[in-house]
Amino acid sequence: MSQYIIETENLTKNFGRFKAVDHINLKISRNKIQGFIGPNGAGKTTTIKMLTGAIHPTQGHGHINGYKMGSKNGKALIGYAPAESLFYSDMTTIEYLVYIGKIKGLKQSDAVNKACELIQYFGLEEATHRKPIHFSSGMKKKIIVSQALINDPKVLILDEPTANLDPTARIQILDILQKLMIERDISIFISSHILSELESLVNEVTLFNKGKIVLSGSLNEVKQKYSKGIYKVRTSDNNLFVDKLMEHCKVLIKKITIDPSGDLLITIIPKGKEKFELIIGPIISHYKISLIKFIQEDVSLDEIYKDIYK
Amino acid sequence: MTLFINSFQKLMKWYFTIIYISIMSIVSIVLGFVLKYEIYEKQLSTQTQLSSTIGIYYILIFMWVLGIPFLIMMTSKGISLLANEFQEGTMSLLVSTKISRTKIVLSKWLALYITTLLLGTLAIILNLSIIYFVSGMSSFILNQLIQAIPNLIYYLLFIGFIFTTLSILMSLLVKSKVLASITMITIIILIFLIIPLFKSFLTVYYEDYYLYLFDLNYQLGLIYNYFISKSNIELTPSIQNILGMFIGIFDLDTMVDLDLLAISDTALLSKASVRNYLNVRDLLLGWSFTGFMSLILSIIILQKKDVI
Repeated sequence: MSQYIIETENLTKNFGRFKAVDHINLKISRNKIQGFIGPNGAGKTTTIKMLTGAIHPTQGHGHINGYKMGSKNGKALIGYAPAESLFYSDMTTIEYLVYIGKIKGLKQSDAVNKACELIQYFGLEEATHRKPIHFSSGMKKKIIVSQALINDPKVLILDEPTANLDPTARIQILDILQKLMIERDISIFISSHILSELESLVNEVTLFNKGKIVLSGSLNEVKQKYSKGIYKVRTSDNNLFVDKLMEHCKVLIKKITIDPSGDLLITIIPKGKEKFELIIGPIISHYKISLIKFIQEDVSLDEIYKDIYK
Repeated sequence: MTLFINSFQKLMKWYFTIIYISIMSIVSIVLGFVLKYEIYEKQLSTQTQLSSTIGIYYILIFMWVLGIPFLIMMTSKGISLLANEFQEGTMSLLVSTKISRTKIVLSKWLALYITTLLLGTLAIILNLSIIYFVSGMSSFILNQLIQAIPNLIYYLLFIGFIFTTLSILMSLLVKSKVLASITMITIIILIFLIIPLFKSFLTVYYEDYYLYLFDLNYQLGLIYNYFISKSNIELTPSIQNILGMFIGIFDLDTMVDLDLLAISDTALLSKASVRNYLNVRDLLLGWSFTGFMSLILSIIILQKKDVI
């Protein structure tokens, strides 16, 4: 069994002359949350719709847990929550969930039980017998995610699940997703352009632009790759530490500044990080300097995004 | 099955059924009174009464009960079935489930076809009942009309199949639900209203320019006559003339006014023969094939379509 639940090969979609998705090789690991990041119009939704079978690829193919993308078996493993809130105007929340459950192959009794369970899980009790078209965006989104979960999918595909939501609703949705990840044997593929919230949620990221994958990997790998090599350091004798640093590894150091709190901000040249970290130990022990703080400054997804899309 | 039941429930909404029955009933009530005062209260022979009643009833079924309002309502509903899924975006949810696109088309069409058959049959029976109670017709005439019902239902099976498959195809071919509905309504009005009105002016060109090939009123009329003629009820020449005005399948010696109906007898008009430009069996096969191909084409279109 492959380590990836979703794999695509040269997946391409053209709309006339416009190449919406251009030969992408996507890999989504099992039981991980994969963030799919890109600006509006990058081709995220088109890719997702190809995975769900709504759009036919112009070229290339993909597999979901070994089954052909868009096939009956492949689609049976998917739970899909579209970006827009799509409801039948004549159905109440419970009717809608039961209907989707039955469409996905559940028996009437199972669909009812599952719908009730999800209503409770998402705290939608008050909405049970009301029509979702009249609800707030947050409530609608919860119902859309609920319908995606009704068949206990192996992969949950969420297209912009927090778009147009107020902060409270956003936090609620993200908490639920985190809870789902812990409680269930599920892989989550989530597209968004709100990077700060994805950062706290995803294990892996794929950055997407103009129909192409720009960057892909685990969150740590990506952050490491785009790290600016800035260390925040405080020692018992900052002046001595800087002197010795300049004496022993000047070539590795690009810049040293002091931040308002008095910490040293040491910028290392690219590819100099490993050597720098190795040399710190001997310096402080030899010159009897106490190391109070040594933190590599984290690079946020926002910064990586800006770096890539500038 | 879920999709079929859901579509069927949508089509059989109580308010839609009530509106439909009301529209059908109003005309039957009016017609019941016309028959009462113009036929049954006059001293006409039983045979003339029967022929006149049957003739009027057949015209009512062709033009109204299974004609303009019925087909407009059913095709509009049919177009909405698929078009609403696209318009509300729920089609992208449907196609992401394991239900196949073929099943989506067939479930929707079957729900529409069964609704058409149920409402059509209900309308035929309801109309007859209302006419019977309002006009006070004799049980002999009622029995004759009841015997004609199975043949009317055969015609309903045929016309229902053609228009339901065409409306499903139209909803997939034309992006806008309104445009698709307008197209279908135009076709129906052309067949049942405009063509019959203008046909009398076109008689000179009718055969020379093979206009019968485009005259759907004539083609459907011929098929309708094929079914009703199986009832073994002899139509008098006057009734043939009146039917001929609406359906356009008889060679008319004289055009008659509806007012003549009450006083008509067989001596006034000679018996009309059916205009057999086209073979009715070929027409039945051709239209059934068209309906079948519409369904196949609908399946192919949805299968190839990107649901954006």
